[in-house]
Amino acid sequence: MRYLKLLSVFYKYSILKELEYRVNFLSHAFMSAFWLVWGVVGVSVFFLHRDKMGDWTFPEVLMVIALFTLFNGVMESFLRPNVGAVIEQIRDGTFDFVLTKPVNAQFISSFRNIVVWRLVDVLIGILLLVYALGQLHVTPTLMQIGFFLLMLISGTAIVYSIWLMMVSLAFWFVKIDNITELFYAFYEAGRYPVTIYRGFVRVLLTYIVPIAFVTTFPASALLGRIDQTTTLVGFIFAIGSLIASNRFWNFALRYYASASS
Amino acid sequence: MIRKYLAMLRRSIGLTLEYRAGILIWMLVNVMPLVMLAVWYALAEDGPIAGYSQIDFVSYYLLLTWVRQMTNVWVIWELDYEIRHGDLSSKLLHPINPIHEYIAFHLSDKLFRFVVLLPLAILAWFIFPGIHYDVTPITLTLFLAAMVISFLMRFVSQFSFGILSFWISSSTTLHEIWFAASMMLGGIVAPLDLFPESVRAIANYLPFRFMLSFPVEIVSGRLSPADIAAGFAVMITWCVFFFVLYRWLWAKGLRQFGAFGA
Repeated sequence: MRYLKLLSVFYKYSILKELEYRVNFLSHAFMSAFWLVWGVVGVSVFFLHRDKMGDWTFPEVLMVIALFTLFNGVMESFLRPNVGAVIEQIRDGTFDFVLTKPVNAQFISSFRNIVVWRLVDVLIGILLLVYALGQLHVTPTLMQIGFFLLMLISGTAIVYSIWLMMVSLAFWFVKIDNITELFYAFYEAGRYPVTIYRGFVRVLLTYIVPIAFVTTFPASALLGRIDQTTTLVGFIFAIGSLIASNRFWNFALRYYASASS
Repeated sequence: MIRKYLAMLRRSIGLTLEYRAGILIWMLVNVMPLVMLAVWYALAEDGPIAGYSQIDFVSYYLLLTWVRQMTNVWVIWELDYEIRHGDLSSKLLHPINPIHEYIAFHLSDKLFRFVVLLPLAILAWFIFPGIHYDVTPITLTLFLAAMVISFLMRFVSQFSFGILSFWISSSTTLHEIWFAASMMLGGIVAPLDLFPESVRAIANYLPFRFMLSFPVEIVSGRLSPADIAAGFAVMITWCVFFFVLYRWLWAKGLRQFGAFGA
């Protein structure tokens, strides 16, 4: 309860701060729409030459792009601003102030900031998702929507864990402010259904940098291509990665040396 | 001038080595062409696409990744930062145009990347023994020349975008659109041969092709000598255009900067 209250204070303050830069909203909205169109044009090039991409038709691939955009919005709104702040705090030593607060440090480090403008991506992602489902004449059943939401939550938890581990690395290597860019480079591969990739690349995107969990699998869930077992495995995987990343963070915290020492 | 460059290079090589971990990460970030390779490779399983077999895609994208590493430019971020924070002022006091300091930093970065990539390129040859290029002394010379001009084009055009920071705060956003266009029409999303004829006809006259895929096309053996000559003509025209644009914007921008009192 106390944490929920804190969360609302954090976000309220963040949003107030953001409201000062209202022009940002327009440019973000424009760029989000622009990149979405770019992504759709990009896959159209594949469909000039082939009818299917790894067994996915064009509207089905649009769903993956929609989820790619949606989840990009989630990362840009909730994860990136916090990760950036923490890495900077570790570098200049102001992370001391986070540690001395009577609140869990992981909680502050993960939820202190939010960039509301980037939620535009979530919105246009949902719009494209609905459009693609309309093109397919598919109305998901309640059960499929349930699987979809569960998959999306699991995916979010998994990606959050990866980000937390990346941040933890900053306790040892101070000069890695571009490590998050590395994640984005892999994330690019999530624009396309993971079934298109072969061998090692597919294993990499499913289990090591599990981007498939945020784009391909939720789309499969909506299309009814995923059964309970897979959803359940995803959920267990999510819980496992949350625990592992929390352990890793606590372990890394011990190596925080502050700036002056 | 050469002596000045040698001195600046010595200094920036030191900087490059200091930031080597960061640069290695940046090199990894540039894997986008490899993602596209993975997709096209899978799509070409059932047979060649527009004349590209699986191994043709591998040859194309591996060399494209190499050229991208050797020509990539990030000067807009530095310029934008230094203009907004006023760091540029001190650079303007140096007895040499600041653009040369940025170029020297980029060149030492290329040296570093070359050293890192050489063993990887040899490794790639072992993994995909079938990769093939049309290498003759002439195509090789033209390839290298095209690569150098690509780098200059990217550098001067991006520098021009960076100068816009004298007036507007969103020059990097503007550049993002340019960057997106260059990924689409510069041969990363797909080799330009795979686009419809009408798109290709336009792309042949836009700058994007010449900032990346043109050098690769030269050694792909798919261009006739006439195509190559025409390509160079368009490429050099764009290069001159960007150079003139940069000189003009730079002169105007400096006046603005002075009036600003920074």
